[in-house]
Amino acid sequence: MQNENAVTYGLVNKEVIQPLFKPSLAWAAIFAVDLLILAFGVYCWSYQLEWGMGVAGYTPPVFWGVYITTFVFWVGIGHAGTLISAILYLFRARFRTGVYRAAEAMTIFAVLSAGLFPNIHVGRLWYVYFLFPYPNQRLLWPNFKSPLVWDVFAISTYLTISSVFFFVGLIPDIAAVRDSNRNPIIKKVYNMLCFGWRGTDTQWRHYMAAYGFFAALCTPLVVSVHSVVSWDFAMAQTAGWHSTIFPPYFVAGAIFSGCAMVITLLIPITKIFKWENYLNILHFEAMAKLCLLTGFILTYSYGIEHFIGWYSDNPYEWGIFVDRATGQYDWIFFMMVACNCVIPLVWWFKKVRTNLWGLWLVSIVINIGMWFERYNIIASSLSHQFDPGSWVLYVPSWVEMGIMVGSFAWFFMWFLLFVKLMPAIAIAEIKEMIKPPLSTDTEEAA
Amino acid sequence: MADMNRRDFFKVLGTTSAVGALTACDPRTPVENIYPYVVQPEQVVPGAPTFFASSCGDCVAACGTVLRHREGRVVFVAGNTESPVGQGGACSVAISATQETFNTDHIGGPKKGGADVSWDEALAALSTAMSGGSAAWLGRYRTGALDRLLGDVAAATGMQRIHWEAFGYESLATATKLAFGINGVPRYQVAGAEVILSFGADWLNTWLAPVDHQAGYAAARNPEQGKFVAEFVSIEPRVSHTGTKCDQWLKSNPGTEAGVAFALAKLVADKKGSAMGAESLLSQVDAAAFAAAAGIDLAKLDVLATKLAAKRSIIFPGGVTTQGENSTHLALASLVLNLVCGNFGSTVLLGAHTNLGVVSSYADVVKLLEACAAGSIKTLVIDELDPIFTLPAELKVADALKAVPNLFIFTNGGGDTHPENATLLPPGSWLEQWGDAEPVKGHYQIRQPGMVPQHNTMSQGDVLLKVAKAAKLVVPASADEPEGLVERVVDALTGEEGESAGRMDAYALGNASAVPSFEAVDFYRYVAGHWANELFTGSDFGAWWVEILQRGGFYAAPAEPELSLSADLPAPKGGAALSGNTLLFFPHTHLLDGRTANRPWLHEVPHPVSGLTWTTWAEMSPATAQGLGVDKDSHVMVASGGVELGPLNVRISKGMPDGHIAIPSGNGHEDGGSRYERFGANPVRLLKPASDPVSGAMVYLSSEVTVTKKVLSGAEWEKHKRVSLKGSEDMDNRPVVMDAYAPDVVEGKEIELGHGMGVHIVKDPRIEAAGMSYDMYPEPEHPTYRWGLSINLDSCTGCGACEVACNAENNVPMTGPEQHQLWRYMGWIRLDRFWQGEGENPDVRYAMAICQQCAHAPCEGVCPVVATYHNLDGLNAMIYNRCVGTRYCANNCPYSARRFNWHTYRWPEGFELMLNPDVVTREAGVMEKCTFCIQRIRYAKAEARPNTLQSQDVERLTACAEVCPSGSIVFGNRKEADSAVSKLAASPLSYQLFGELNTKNGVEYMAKLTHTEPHHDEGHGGGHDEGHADAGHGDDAGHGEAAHAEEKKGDEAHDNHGEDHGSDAGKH
Repeated sequence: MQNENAVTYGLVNKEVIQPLFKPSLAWAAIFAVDLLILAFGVYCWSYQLEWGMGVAGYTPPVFWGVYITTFVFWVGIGHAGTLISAILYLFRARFRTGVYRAAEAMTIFAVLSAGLFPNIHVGRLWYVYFLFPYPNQRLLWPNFKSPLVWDVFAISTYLTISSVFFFVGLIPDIAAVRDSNRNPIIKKVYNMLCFGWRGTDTQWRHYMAAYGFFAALCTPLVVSVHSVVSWDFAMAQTAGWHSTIFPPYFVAGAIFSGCAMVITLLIPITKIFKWENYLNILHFEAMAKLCLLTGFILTYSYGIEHFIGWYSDNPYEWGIFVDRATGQYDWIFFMMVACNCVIPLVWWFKKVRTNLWGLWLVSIVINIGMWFERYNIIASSLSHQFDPGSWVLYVPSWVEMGIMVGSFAWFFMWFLLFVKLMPAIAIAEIKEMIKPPLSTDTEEAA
Repeated sequence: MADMNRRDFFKVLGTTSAVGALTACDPRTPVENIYPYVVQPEQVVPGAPTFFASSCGDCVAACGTVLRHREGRVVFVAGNTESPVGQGGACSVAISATQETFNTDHIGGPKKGGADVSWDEALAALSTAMSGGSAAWLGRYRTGALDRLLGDVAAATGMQRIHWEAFGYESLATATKLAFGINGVPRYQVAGAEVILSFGADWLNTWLAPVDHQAGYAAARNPEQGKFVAEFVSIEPRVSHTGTKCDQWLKSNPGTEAGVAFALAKLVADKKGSAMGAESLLSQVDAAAFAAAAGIDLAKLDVLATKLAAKRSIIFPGGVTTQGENSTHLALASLVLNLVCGNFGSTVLLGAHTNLGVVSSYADVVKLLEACAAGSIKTLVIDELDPIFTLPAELKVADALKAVPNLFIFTNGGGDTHPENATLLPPGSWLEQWGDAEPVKGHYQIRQPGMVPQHNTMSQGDVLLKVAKAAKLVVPASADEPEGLVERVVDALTGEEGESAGRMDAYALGNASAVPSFEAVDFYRYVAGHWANELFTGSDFGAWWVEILQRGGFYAAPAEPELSLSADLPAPKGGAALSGNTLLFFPHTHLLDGRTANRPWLHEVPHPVSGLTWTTWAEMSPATAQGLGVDKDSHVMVASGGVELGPLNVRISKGMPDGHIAIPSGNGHEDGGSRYERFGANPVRLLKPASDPVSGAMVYLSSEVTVTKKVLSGAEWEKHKRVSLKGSEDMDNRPVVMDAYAPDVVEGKEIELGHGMGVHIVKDPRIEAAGMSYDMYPEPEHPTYRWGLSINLDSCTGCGACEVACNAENNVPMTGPEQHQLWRYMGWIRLDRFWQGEGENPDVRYAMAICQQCAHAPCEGVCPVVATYHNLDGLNAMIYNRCVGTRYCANNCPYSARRFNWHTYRWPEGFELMLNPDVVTREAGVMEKCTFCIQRIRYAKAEARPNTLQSQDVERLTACAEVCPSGSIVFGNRKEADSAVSKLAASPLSYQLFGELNTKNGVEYMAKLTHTEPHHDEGHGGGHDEGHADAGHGDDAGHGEAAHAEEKKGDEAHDNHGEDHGSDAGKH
């Protein structure tokens, strides 16, 4: 808190709850545009379901493309939220408070987006339930050796736990929204959502214990989910994928992109909702520092990957890394290096990382770079398999790009609804950090 | 509604939703009705195939074939192992014959001016016309009974007979006649040759009898068989498809090959000290001048001549590409060279020579067309030729044909030749016809239908018999016809004993009507009569005939004649080199002269060398391409004498001479009767009408062309965009196709494969010593069988027969040119082609890349739903119904062997009739791949029950192995130590593709053999010597011992592949 003394409980309630429920014209316009883009994405998917996977640009042996790229991208985005809300909570990092609610919401929406892609990607969507271990007469089970089945568990677990954690964290704040609203229907709904929270000491005691418990439960997921996703690649024999460095490298990348996404989202929100009291340059700077750290880990991983490719004297591995940098996808490789390794270095300058424009633009660059990173991994390895007789060039089709763009619209749809329906800043936790109202200043608190 | 209670509500709900579910079935699943036989045909057991021995009718080779028949239809065409021609192989053209039958673009019945006519009308018109005189027959080469029948009809009516084919053999036939006075062309038996020399003939793929040649080539390259590995030297201007297998390519200036052959003959004669009667001819040869004109170093020819003088050899003449205005001289020179080398009687046969029947020349055809145009031909019958497509435009063939009052054309509807005034008579495909062939003197082969005619068709023989009867023709008595022919045949057929006659009835041969005369009831009986008359000597014709039908023919070997070279030969003409921008016209491996362009499989399968599909391309050298500013994605226009061809795709080939442009035949029908024929462009349009003055053969090598770059955009670009499905041109130093130095192999020296390529895995011996395993999972159990395939990459010629056979057997869908732009060719076999070398040693390597049936399969572990699993026979089986389509398996396959159904690919109407009923078709979203023809394995196992399958019975079980003309593919049980595959796997030449990945493959490859001496540059660490002709041996990465070779020992079928690496690990 920059000016803890100036902020009071009443002000927090007022400032955070005020933007809810009353959509401005601008919000409505943005939401409408968002739905239009989403509709186009839905059209693309329907088109693909009608005509077959072939409408995507797949060029065998490139059997995975933009869908898996975007899937990994969204799973990665989904990492920052839990990191901020759970791990930083356990470490009692103060800067987390203002950021974590939005970050956590972002996590859930990102996982919701990510969860679409395996369905979009499979050839026979109508049989996708085969991937789940459900009891059936034929005693058929999924193949527990397959990283894709691990993925199913990892993603669904992550979605469940982080949703529960998110809603637990929301309970006191929903109660605050309920209390400050006069509309009887909203009151009723929100009362249900907060389980009739009244803020008694007993409730608070149980609540804090539960919150701590879920924070602890979420913590390993931060590491495990993206590790499992990375195993989709690392467990495969494909050159350029088959590497033990993938789990840490992917987790670092996920946090890197997640934090960047938090910056990208929160800067406009802060500006629009005038939340400078709760979210300010200090928070963003902290996030930027986290990005610098993870970005460095990422750069190191890229370096090690290439070094091992050369050092292994394995022509397939080395072939891939040479091809990535110099072959048909070289511009994607350079986009990746530029966006993830080089451009974020400007944040070493305090002037840049304390400037909102500097933060916002670079965070967008990072997001673009991280998408290209996954594309680089997937497309280049598959188009340059073991047998040179099967080397191809894969170019995504408009359907794939349409669905990819549509997934962004899907994500923003949830986020836009969220900022209008739920307090995007944790009211209760902000209050913990400011001077508690004393009986002497009751008039102020009112 | 008010009185509806809960139970009723649920009843209604249940019924309506059930009805809804039933009626709302996915409309994409077609409704199929299954009808039982009311009267079950004899010989047909539903679910079990019936086999008919027959002969291919698509080219002069007339290979023996076996037709697999299921429930009324031929579903597969394979070679007949009994037939000496082809020895069991089949080429892509023969295998695709079912598409000739089931192509619904075809006319399906006689037609006149686009309207249906009845056979009665058509035949009445034909018989009236033929008895009217001034008739001519223009058709393919015909042998056997049809040749005889045609001869009789011609004799009775005075009909002129012209037998000509576009890529015909009139030069060789003329040269053989001139030199030795023999009618026919030699039969080439490659098997015994230690040196193979060719002057441009595409003898492994399209020339004369390619299937036969391939079998011989495989034998000649087999170090086990003859203790030698034949060396193949190709002297031609451009590396042809056959030339890609050569050990040495001597680039000749186009048009000068005859001189090279004469020069070589002189050099060999000098070395041997005997010219075998060709002294006077060779005395006129100036070897140095001829070599200089050809642009070939005389010293190189001298080295070659030394080999030819010392070793058994075979010399092939020129082919279509080198067919210039002195093509007879080239053919003659090749014969003289064979004579001087002493090849006649051993590798080149003139006794059991290749029989083409009547051979007319292009000049005869031109004369006939002139007569047609002049109106002096009243009746013309064209027998399955496409003159409008295959003859130069300047001849104005269409106009000449229009001037013929009575024009009859035997055609199934494909091709450009179907003018308005013609009556089209569909003969059907050879799968539906009775007939015979005598492809080699003394080899009589039966052509037996595998199914009843599927359309309203009638074969040429039947038509001629009906016409002869209607016109009341009489066979004129000829001098060589023995007395009492008809009586003798009737005696033979009816026989003395009841048993024989009964058998005859059983096979519907019947009675005295089986005679080789116009009295025969139908052509089948005519053929039987012909055989009875010509060949039958015993007493029980019925039994003999049944045996013939089962075996497919009667094979005798006439004695080789004593040869003496005629003294009256034209003076040697070496030929002048043509200008630097000549059109090198070459036959398309699958489409031939265009006659098979109506078969989509042959467009669908990538061209073995260029990898292009559904198009015509212009081939040029890298320097030429650079000069034009084009790359492989560009398009060019090729023009000659006012005719412009294009836009053509570009193929840049290291096997092209600078400046010249090569274009394949077969594509680009302008008025094609079938929709599949209208792709690409027809290079014949660029040719000028010209002929060789000696033989009258057409000149294919003379046209000067100008090439210009053509920039396409928008829809045009989309339409003409093509992608080569061959991937990278070179192997990037990866151990895909390994090679070995042939003399080392012959001498039994230790062979080291993949030297310095791939990954050398060093294993710690202590791991093994401690009883631990490198494998995470135990080896899967294979109690009785572990199916394996051995693929010989040396004898593999890249002909593509396996690809077509696989597509036919496994109902692999065709996806068409648009999908191919995205590499979505569905064939389970990817025939890799790498062009490793440059210049004199092209070092082209083919690899049939298929599912390797790994014991530790990367695909199986990653499938989330176990849609692919390892079965007890060692196969990676597929469960299509279980597949969700995550495509992870395909990503993880190091061999890129899996294919995905991106759409529900449909069969064009009609073609669904040729689907193999043993194999399901796959819907969109499902992965598929090679499973070693599991349906055939299952069937063979069921047949063999309760015994296990014998290894020798299954060596050609899979479709690819069954048809492979060079026998390069061998199937068998790796659990059996003495099966052919196990023995081959134990060879030091055998290796597993990317064996270092430890996937424990079921497929083994045999290394390519090379005659280029390996270079061992000691101390040259790691780096690869780029551009070295022999990439496999180009460097020495410092591994001094034969790690891989040691690994090959032990016939436990690689079940512990790589585990004995430990012993030599210390040496690394």
